[in-house]
Amino acid sequence: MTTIDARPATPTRGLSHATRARITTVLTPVASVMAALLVGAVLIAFAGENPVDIYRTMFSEALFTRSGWRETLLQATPLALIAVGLGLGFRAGVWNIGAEGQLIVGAVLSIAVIGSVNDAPGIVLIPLGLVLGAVGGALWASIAGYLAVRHGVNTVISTLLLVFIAEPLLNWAVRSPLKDPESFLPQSRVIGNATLPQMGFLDLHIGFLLVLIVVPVASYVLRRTRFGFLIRAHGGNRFAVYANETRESVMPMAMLVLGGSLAGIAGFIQLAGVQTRVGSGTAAGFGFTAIIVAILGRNDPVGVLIAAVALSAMLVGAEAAQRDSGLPVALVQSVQALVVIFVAAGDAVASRVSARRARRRSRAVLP
Amino acid sequence: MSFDPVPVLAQSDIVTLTFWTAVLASGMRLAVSTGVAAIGEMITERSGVLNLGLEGVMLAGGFAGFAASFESGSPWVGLLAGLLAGAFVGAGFALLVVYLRVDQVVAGLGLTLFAIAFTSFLNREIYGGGTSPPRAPKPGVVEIPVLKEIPLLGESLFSQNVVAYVAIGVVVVIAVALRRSYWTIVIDAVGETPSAADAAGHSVRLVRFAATVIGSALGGLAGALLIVGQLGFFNSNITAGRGWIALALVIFGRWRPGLIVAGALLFGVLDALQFRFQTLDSAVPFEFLIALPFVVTLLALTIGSRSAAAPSALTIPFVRATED
Repeated sequence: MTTIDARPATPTRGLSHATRARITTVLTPVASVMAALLVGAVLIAFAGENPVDIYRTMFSEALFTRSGWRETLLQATPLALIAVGLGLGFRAGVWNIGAEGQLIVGAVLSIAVIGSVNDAPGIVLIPLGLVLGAVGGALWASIAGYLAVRHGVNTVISTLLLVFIAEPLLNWAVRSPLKDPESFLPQSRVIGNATLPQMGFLDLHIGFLLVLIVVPVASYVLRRTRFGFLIRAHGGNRFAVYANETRESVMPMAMLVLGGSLAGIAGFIQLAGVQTRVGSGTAAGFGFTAIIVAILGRNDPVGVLIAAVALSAMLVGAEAAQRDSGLPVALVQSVQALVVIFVAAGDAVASRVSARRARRRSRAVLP
Repeated sequence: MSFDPVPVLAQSDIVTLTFWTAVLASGMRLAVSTGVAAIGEMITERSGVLNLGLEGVMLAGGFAGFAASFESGSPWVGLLAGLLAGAFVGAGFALLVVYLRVDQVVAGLGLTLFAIAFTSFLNREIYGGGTSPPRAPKPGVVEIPVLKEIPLLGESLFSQNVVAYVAIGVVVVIAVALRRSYWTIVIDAVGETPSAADAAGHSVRLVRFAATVIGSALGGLAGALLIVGQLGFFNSNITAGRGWIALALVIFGRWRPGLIVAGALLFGVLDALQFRFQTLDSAVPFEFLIALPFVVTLLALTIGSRSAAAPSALTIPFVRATED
């Protein structure tokens, strides 16, 4: 007699399917980082340095010094904020890779307005700046949203092209209308009263607190709300969502606006917490590194926070290594990009292994 | 008053024939590399693989092309190196997305991010990466005596550097070869209905692998054309979005060589105009002109994006019903 049984044939041997999937989710990124660091070691050796010494410098700087901790968390702040938004979008199958441009527009809009009402107290200006940053980033991203919804334009390409439009606009803004008249450099006025206060023993600006709010909120929304359900469903089968839950235009636009506003907020926070002015280096690549952070963090808010801290620790360490031995930071950036490729490859291999295992299981039951 | 040798444009120059002749000639030069990259990407996409790493492939080809022509002193070696570097990177990408079935968007983005950082690292390690980078040898200019005097089109068609002629030749050969050939049908079948191509006895994965390698080889050549044939030096992230414009051109050109080439020429001329208007003392800030090609590309995307010309199986990995 034959029975078709979907359950594992031998439940006592090995781990359950769900546990195995959960382990893969965590193990793949960890293994990918390890593999990328190994490749990095080869590259360091190619550059004529001792990999062990370089890695020791990197990790001792990032992990065992107070300034290393501070710098790591400072850089992790914009990365985590942006990557939470991008990750939710990726989860919904909506690709936004133009956070760099959204960050720029958010920062420019907030300095443009705050620069003209500089006399108000910080308690008014800081919330205003956060709102302006969010509005700027959301507006910029919604251009891609409109093109996607109305004309079917691929958001990967449109969001990226918008970065190449935002960058010259930023350069114009700080050269001409927003330029600080007392400075020779093309840069805006200082943010003044909107400067974020510092706190705690690491002297972090309060923007870091925002990360500690956004991550749990996003996590809750994703897991426990109808919107979170729509995000997950849209990523799985968007046509099912269109058929039963919501109009076709809603989710792509919502995800782009969400990602854009968080990127814009990160722009204001960098401006008011770290850089004090807007200049041509305002975005500093955070928008692109955040893509890596989102993928490494499995598009999950908590994972993103961990990945943001890990990647910014790597960058902080790399800056120390550059100071000490002249090793270009670009090397660590290559290693970080490799992480993305390794994670994706690891996922692909893992899903095939589990498919094969499932088939073997069904063979064990069927004649 | 001034001894500045650079001819500053005056408003009245815009209407002259010389101005437009020069614009067309430099537009042609700018179109060459984007056009070759877009044609390569078109081949890849028609087989069902979306290579979002094109910008990275161009950077790899550009750096390899620069290094090889700088070390050897010959632009030709540079072009060959660019082609090979592109093919090599493309083979790696194809292994990931065709055989391992890695998500094409993630792998493509990863490739671009990696190439931006890695070429910048190599450039710093080997050539210092400073503000005055070493120069690659300039390829010679071929001038066809009488024809180049033809007003308006003469300079663009009959007085280009050798390298540009090669690129134009490559594009023409591919466009003609793709018109009526067995392999076009196979590539299109694999990109439209892979299961039918599979049933007809073609290896879907092998065709996709080959189309990706060929497309990336052209992408690498395009990078080398930009560096060796035009700019003469390498700097970090020097392609500055040209790979992305090429990706957009494929959509705008509806996956057809003729339209893609026309699009590339249009954008080349636009880019050349933009460069020239920057020297013009106009009310428009030059930063707006820099952004202009990207704005137009974005608008152009609204034309081709909903078109049914997109390969049906684009980005979908092929899995036979009987395997996992």
